[in-house]
Amino acid sequence: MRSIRTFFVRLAASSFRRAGWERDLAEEIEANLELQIEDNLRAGMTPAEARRAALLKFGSVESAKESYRDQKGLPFLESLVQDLRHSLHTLRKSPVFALVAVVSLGLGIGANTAIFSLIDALLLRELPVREPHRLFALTQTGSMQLKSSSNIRYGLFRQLEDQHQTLSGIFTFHGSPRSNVTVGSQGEVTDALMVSRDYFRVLGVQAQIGRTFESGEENVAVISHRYWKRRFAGDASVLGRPIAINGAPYVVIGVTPPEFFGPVVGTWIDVTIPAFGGGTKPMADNEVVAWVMGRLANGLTEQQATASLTTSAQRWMESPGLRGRPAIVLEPASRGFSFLRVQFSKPLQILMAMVALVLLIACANVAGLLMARASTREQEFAIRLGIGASRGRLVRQLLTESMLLSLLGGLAGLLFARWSAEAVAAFVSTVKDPVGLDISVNMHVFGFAVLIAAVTAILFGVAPALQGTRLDLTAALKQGRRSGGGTTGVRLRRVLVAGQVALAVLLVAGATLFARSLNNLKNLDTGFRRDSVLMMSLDPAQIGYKDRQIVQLYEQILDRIERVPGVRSATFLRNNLLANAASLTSIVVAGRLPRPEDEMELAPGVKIGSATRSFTVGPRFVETMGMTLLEGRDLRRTDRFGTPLVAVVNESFARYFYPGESAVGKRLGYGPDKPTAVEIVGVVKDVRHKQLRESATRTMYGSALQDPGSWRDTTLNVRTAIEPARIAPSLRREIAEVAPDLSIFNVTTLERMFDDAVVTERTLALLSGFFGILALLLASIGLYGLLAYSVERRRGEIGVRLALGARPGDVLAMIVRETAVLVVAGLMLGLPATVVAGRWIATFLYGLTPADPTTLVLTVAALATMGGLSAWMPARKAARTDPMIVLRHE
Amino acid sequence: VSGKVDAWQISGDRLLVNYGTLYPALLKLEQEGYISAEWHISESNRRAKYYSLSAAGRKQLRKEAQQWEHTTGIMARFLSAEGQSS
Repeated sequence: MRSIRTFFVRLAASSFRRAGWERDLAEEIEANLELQIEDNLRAGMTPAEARRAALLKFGSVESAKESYRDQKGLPFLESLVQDLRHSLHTLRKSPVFALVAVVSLGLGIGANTAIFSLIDALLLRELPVREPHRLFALTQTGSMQLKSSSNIRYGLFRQLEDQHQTLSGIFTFHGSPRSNVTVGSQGEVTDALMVSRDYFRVLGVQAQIGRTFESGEENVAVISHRYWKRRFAGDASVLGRPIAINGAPYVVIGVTPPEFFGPVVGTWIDVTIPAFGGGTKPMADNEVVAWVMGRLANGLTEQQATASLTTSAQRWMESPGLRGRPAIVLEPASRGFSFLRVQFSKPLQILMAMVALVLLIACANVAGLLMARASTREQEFAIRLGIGASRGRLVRQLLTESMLLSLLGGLAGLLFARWSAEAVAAFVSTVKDPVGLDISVNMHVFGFAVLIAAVTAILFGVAPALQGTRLDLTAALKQGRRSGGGTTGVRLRRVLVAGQVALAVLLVAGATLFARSLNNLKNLDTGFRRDSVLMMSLDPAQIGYKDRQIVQLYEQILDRIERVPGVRSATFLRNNLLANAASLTSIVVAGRLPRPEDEMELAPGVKIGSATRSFTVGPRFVETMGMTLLEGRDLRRTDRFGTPLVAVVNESFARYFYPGESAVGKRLGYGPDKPTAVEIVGVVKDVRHKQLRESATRTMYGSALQDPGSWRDTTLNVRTAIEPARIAPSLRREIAEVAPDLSIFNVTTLERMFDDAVVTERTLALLSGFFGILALLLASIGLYGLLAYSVERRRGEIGVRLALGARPGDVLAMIVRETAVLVVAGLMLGLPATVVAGRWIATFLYGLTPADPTTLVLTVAALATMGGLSAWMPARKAARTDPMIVLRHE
Repeated sequence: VSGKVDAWQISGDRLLVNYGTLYPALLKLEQEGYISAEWHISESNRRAKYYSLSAAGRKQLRKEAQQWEHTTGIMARFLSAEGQSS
């Protein structure tokens, strides 16, 4: 306690004017001396003797004052303030230097902070709920698992919901993305979540206004703070307002706190409604619930809980006589669920590494600038050392300057990160998965920015500070010739610049690899034409349509749509092109016995025998998707319910099952009882249907109009003669006339689907391209700075050379040589590093290897150009040196 | 105990205090709140700074004195034991 008091007393003394207590101190010392002198006089000394003796006894007055001053205030703080003031002053005196340094640091730190804030939001941060570390995700193992889900049966879930010894609470949820939410008469599509009754209680989230729902409540909705602000303008009377979600009526009862976005990182849930056991959609006990999260009861360990839950699961499975010995696996879920995490964690790591390199280049730049400055400030340092400053004190002064620079850079960086992180997040959003991440600047991100600012200050500050203060005093104090410190300084700077070039090589080559991969993917022959196709999703089953009614509805819709001006043809698909979805079917090929190699893998470890990939598609599918018909015909409107089954197959299918002969007219079936039910009517060229990076897979396209029972939500695909987006309103009108209450969602184009399919590659290519350009720019500033400095230093030498008969061309060649040495050294370091580092990014490359020759050539060309541009001005200046002027100046 | 001269006298001139140490030491005690200082007019009609112990200072002094006695006690016993054994 005493030390805190002392600290504040001293801090106050440091902060206020010292004139007052200085005078006091002088007076006190004077009084003390006077007393002593009086004593001495009384002892019989003469006044002069008495004063002398008193002063002798006292010792040095000045040093007593000095130690008093040190105790009075906080000398460390005072000199820091003094240093800061001095630093600000010197920076203000050289604004160009300050600007270049702060901007390069700002870009470097900003890029790092931006990528870090995404990493923080997606990979690191815990859910903003009560005690997130006690939350666990539950998964059941021990039986075949096709879909990625908890694999826990609803019956078991309900049982666990009522047991509180192991898990104090448990909930499940089911996403209802792109739900149609109607307020008043206005419909809007947003992300809704259907949750079980204890959802809010388990998470420990309380409503900001209103309340959350209770057990057994139905048709109530809790909305997010964000949605409340946007859709209801933050109106407090929102409580009790009726809304409709996909046509069903709900009442708003509460608003969640602003930071709460739901259990899935990357998806901002706007509307939460109770379901499961609530009644809107009854579930059977043996159905599997999607995702399950539970809160560990107090005092229990994860292992105990796992054991106890596994016992419950086994007992439950025995009672209805289900097979399998299940086990429950707990996984920490403090950071919530995330599907983006898997997709983007590696790309984010790659980007983080790239921005770290950019920052290193920026640091090297600032270090170079500081060294150049230190050599012009040699005289200042020499004088300060000469009048008694210690070297440590000077180093501290210089480090304070660096710290100030990097803090200013960090500030600029935070501003830069603020908008760029949002831009990047918007960038990785796709139509299918809009990304809703909380990337506001929080303490994590702020701390990160401050930390890397401090680290960078040390990185770029220490070497120049030590270098600049290692001085030969006499030499430095003499005007004119620079002291010996300069040459080691230049050598160090050359190493720094070569290092910068090497890092730039790495970044430029990486960016080129990503750009070329993206290009390869874009120019890939997908087998379909992606231009001019409008897509819109419909789900007639959602509003009660059944089997044949669905067929009739689609026929009506197609009839109307094909008459709309600007429409070339229309069809519908169950699994969209590039939607990363496909199904496998076991088939019987007439006249051919199944073989072991006919097996295909449905999911890891799940094989299906005698299989083909299969899709159900509408009429004119081949024509609408712009596929190439090799033989036979397209599916037609007449291939409808009740007519003989037909199918179109792809080239791989035809070649696999009917090598050397035509597949058209051949027959196949779905089971041994009807081996000839389906007739192949056409063969198309292979198409990358599921995703771009797939190899040719045998595929069969069946007519959807003949098989109405199998599909729910489908997507209408319309090939247009005009800009596809422009035709959407008239299509909506036509559909509304057939089915007024049918909602239309996911309106997009095939072009967009394609862009979404390459979102990872595009993100990597664009961002790494940006970082590559940044790296080139920063490295060229470094190179230019060094060359300009060295030309300036060697002015005398160049003048002498020219006077002795060297031609300007020789001087030019000399500078070019110097540049070339640096660039080549950088390339020699950077290119092998690229090939090695390339292995780490290989999974994101397409159609090339990390040692891609074109990439290497492009990189060398880029670096050579950069070297040439940076050298141009200094070289020209050197060649134009007038020997007369230089020699006269010497 | 008021004034430095007194401190000087109590220690009987045997303890030579360097003023370079004394002033900061007094200041430190003042900052810690163990002593307080005031300007007064001395007997010889001069302005002089008088230091006095505060309540906290008195407490601390007792504590330190006890500590010291404890230490010297141990030392004394140790030294006398040394004397006996040799």
